[in-house]
Amino acid sequence: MKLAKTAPMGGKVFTRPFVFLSLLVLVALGLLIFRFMYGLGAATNLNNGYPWGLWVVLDIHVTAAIGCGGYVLAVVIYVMNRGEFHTLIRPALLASAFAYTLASLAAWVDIGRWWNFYQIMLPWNINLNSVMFEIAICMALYTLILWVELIPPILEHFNKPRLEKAFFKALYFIIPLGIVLPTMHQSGLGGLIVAAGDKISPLWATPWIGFLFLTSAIIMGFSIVIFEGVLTVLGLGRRLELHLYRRLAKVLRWALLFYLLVRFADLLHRDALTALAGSSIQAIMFYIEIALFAFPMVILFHPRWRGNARLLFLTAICLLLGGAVLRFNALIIGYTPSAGYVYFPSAIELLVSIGLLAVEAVGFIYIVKRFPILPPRKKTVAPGTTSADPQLAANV
Amino acid sequence: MTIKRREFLKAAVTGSAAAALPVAAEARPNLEVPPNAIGMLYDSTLCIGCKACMVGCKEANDMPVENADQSPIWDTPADTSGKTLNIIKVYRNGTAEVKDREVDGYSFVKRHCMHCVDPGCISVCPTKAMRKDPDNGIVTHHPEACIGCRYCVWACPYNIPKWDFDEAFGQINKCQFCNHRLAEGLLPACVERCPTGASLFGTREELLKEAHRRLALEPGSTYNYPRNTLEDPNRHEATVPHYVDRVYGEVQGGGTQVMVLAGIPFGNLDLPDIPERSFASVSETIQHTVYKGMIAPLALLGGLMFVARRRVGKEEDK
Repeated sequence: MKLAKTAPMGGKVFTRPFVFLSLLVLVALGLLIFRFMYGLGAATNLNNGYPWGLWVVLDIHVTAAIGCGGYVLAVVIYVMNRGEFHTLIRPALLASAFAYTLASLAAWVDIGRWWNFYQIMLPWNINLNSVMFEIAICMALYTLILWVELIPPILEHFNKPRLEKAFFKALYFIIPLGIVLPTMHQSGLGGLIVAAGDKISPLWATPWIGFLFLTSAIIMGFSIVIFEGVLTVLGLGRRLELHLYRRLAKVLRWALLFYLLVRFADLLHRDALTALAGSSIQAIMFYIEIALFAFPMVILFHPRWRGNARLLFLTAICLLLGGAVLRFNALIIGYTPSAGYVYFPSAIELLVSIGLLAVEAVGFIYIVKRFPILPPRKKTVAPGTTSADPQLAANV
Repeated sequence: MTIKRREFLKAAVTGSAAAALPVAAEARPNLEVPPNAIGMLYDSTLCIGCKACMVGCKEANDMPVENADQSPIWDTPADTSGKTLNIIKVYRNGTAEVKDREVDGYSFVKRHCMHCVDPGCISVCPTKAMRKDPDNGIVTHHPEACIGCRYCVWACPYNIPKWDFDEAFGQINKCQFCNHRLAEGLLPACVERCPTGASLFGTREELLKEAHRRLALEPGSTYNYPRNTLEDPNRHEATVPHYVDRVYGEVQGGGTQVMVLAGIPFGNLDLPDIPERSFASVSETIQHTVYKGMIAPLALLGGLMFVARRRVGKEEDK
């Protein structure tokens, strides 16, 4: 397989932002030691009314959805046959690999009996009725697949062309598996809430929630590719492949339209909008969630706005937040605990979550500087190419 | 080639749609009541709120007192918890003058595991740490298999399984129907300690009959109420109250083996009004439709492999 040309960025690794992010990682590590020594009750504000909190929603659900960049690009490149997006796949796979690794790690941090985690792999414990079982196995497998898909840059780094060639044979199987697994567990992550029945507000409790989680994860996958593309320009001084992101945005808008159609068809079909009566926190969060999906759709269907780099960046941010809010709503805001329980994440929960995100940034920066992930930097931008956006460059 | 690609796309889209859509081929019905289902009947109108059952439960399960109000002496848990498997709660309204009256009245309720006929906790548990005895129907938790994901805490419609947040190396705890005592031929501790017969032990079938017998009684007449079990001769006469005309647990969520009678609507007593179809059956119907024989995921995988082979092969030749 001929991949797009890539090269290590080179340059100093220990820049000031890198050191700052590393400190956040160290803080989180220290707090994790506390969590493992003194337990969930001591480290978090979780309780028996809200047994799932920030770590489950942000660090597992949202992080895994953000990790869908590799998944959607695989679909675009291999199923929709758009080879021109090859330059984007390695950074996307790398970001996805980090996101999924951290989501899996977060799951282990969050389970109360972490020393017992291997029980889920024992054949006599397998419960095929449990959505959680499906998610755990699929996510673990897919995390592995993502790192396997990143073997080529490593082989290139160590200059092993023969191994590289042999590896390409395995891609026939690995790439399809890397599409099937996220399709399964991203819908499963939503399907989790069905078993809670009417403990979840009808605004989110629907048999279609798995489908909505999957579709929104695909939307978030597109958004993260665009978001990270622009961030790489800002942070690492890369050229912006704007024409590619514009084309991704064209595909994205149909996914978005489809998502909103299904979302509202389902709400209307179940007559669930009656739950919006009054000005409950659930109603407010519902409006915020819908706005974060609807506003980008307006931009994406406007041919001129869609082409604007800054609006495109804003769109990506809105959609990432929208997907995150959907997950917070379905799992926490829309959840009715038994009477008398409240939940707001503790400082430790917040700092650990921040630290886990910092791990992703630190790892990403280090690897793109040392391994061939990004397209090689060109000295000057050839006139007439659409790949650089002077307007954005001037404004960032 | 284009046509082939289109055909593939069609197959792939159908496959992935089948993998994500909740279109039920055949619904998984509620589970059946086990052949020798045991049961408990709690008649809230007989309960005097003495909490002897709570003391008995703590002793039988070797659990410490809890002090929600910081008093150092009394066992004062606010709710069932990792250290409290059974609790008497009180409903209070207005002046709280009359027992078992909704307005300006009060009522007790005893809360613990309902031992569902079709338990959500068992359906959701990723490691089979929740199990239901196929014969007597007792729902038990087995910490040795538990990873502590707390999905059972999150999903239980009655909010019963509880994670012990006080412990660094905690576990899930819930009422196990005193199965260790039943094995020795003893009654569940809460039933044994109950002085008024508010908690009765028996087979689910007999207790359901007894419950309906009580609902058919004339309010204000007297009835010879049993204690401990229906067979125990140590009965007592009491005036029949106005019952809410329903046995809670007969059909709710597919039915439960712990059933409740009350003088005020169950919603006031922390007992939710849930549909007859169990949430477990809804969830499993979707899950098993999507993954029936793994056909949809495998079809998707096969289709994608076909396409990947062509793509990757084509690019390799270049």
